[in-house]
Amino acid sequence: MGDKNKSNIIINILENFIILMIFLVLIQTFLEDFSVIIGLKKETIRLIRLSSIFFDLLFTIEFIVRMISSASQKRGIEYFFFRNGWIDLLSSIPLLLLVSGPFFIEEVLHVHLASLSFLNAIGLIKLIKAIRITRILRFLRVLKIFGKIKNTKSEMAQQNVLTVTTIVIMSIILFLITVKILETIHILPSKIKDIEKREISIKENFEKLHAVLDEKDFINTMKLTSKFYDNIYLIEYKNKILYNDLTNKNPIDITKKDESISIYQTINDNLKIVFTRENFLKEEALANLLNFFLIIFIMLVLLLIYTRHFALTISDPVYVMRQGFDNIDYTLAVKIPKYYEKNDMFLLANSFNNRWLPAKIRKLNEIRNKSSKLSFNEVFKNMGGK
Amino acid sequence: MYSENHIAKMRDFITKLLSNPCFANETPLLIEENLLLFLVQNYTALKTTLTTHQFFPDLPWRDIENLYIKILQEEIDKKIIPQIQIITFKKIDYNFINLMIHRSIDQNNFADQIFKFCLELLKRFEIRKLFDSPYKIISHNVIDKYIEEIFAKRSYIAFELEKVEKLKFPPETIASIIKFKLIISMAGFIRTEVDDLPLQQKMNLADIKFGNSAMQRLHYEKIVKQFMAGLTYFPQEILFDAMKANLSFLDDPTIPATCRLAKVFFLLGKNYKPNMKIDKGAETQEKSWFGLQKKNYKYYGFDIKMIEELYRISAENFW
Repeated sequence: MGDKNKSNIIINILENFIILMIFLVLIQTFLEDFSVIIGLKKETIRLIRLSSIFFDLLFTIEFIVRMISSASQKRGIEYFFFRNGWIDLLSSIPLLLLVSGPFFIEEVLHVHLASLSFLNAIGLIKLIKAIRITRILRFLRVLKIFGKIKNTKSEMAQQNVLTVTTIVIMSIILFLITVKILETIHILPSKIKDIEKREISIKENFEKLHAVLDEKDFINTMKLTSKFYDNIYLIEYKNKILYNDLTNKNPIDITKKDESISIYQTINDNLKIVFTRENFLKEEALANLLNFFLIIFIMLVLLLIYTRHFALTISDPVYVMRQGFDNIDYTLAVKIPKYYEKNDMFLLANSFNNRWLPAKIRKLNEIRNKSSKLSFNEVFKNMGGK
Repeated sequence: MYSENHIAKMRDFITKLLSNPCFANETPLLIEENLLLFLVQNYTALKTTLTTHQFFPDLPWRDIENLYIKILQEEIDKKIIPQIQIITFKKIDYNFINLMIHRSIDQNNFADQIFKFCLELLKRFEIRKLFDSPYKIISHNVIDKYIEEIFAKRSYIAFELEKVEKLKFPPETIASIIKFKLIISMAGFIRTEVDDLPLQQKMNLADIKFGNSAMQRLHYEKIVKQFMAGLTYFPQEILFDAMKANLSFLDDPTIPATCRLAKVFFLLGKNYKPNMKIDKGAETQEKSWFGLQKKNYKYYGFDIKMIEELYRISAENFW
């Protein structure tokens, strides 16, 4: 008995810890994009992104423990398919393997994945794009917290609202992933492709200039014209800096190849053009953040409005009728809202109110208190075995 | 018979039963009924246990049983009698009797006789368990709040009280009349021996007019004479009139409105749970009850128009 209580306390502590972690990971998800939008220092953004490894690892462990524990009780399928185990899976392992894990390896272990041959085979850019798609899965964590919110006494209401919310949020996430994939494989117009085109066009213009001008004029022209391009961060010609965008408040470390820059070398490697993609990243972070808030907003709407509607029209009348059937003393009638009188549930409730309850109360007054609330065993157990 | 030790031991046992958490929201008389049922339902097990050396090894089971009932009633009486004193002395204004019989008897004399009458009723097992209903209804001022609304609305019930029954009293006094009738009508549940009515008694007009109620009337007349002799300050007509609260309105449409209301409140009291928690999705307790009685009015012999009005009042006031 004591051991059972102890294990219940431990389970409760762990459950509360997981809830706290879900809240924190939602904050972390928000900060990851918000920090880009407000232009925090690269180092701060890096630290925020790095912190996600802790959460991904934690949720991966949580999923594995729950899966093993359920499987050991022969309830693995129930956990995975009916207790949202699949949400736990999608919001943990893919993120660990495709987002935070690679980032951690590159940033902390200093292993450049791009330099690995098998990654080169698929191309770095495509990998980054693929990773960006999987990041959307982070939004699934909203569902995890939704599942933990006990907003109603009724198990049926809880499950129904969770199912509807899961379908809606999963649909949005699938839609977003599909759009991203279509953009990546260039079926849909993609912003990054436009940016690449523009960068190439600028590079080609410079090449043409180099072809028609002598070196002195070329250098002067480059110095003069470069500042009119908002996406050029740095231009080096024959290892001399011709232009450096000093308006950028966060200096870019061009030795680190990350998604915020693209580098082109041309004219026999004499001309190096570094483009900044910070504006694009900001726009993408903003879109990400809007999607995140859209999902939270939908979740709150479902939580506040749909749950109430479901409770009003389904779970509350069912609860009252069940009480009326199960408890001999319970004689409260079901409240029938005026505008739902013709609803099937309230037609049933009407029969309950007008047929079952009147008959019950007649019988109740005849048989009332035919049995005592006290049981012999309970009495003598409470008296210490007397 | 019983030693002090026996009594103390049984009192200790009963006190422990009374303090069981399952009785936390129950009224004393309902707890008593429950504990008597406990005795009946666990008869064999209790007989075996209570005759062991830990309890009453030197008493025959019959004596143990009697001691259990005696101490249980004493303990319940300790709780209920002060409450009944409050009801009879504080919750009922007997001035209407003086107005009806044109005398001026002191209120306390009326209250004292009614209180003693209640104590007599409580000595009878069949009344004890039913007395829970008027106890709850009067102590929670249920009648007062409805009468107040009835006179604020001035609809069917007010008309029946003022015009048909010709009660020219303020609402508080009418509430007192209903409470008084509710208490007096409890005597209608007294179990008496079968009367030796002559078989050859001929059918009379009352039998045809009032059906079953005619027979009940004879029974109630007998009860008034036999059991209410102590109520010397109350004219017999008033007492007999109060007994009509046990009759069906469908059998006898001449039953006074106060009696009809007393009957409704008596049955409401049987199912009434003070401070009941109302679940979301459920109607309030009293609205639910009156709603059900709209379907049951024939079964209980209620005046349907009264039930409908009381239903509206309970709905409007979220009772």
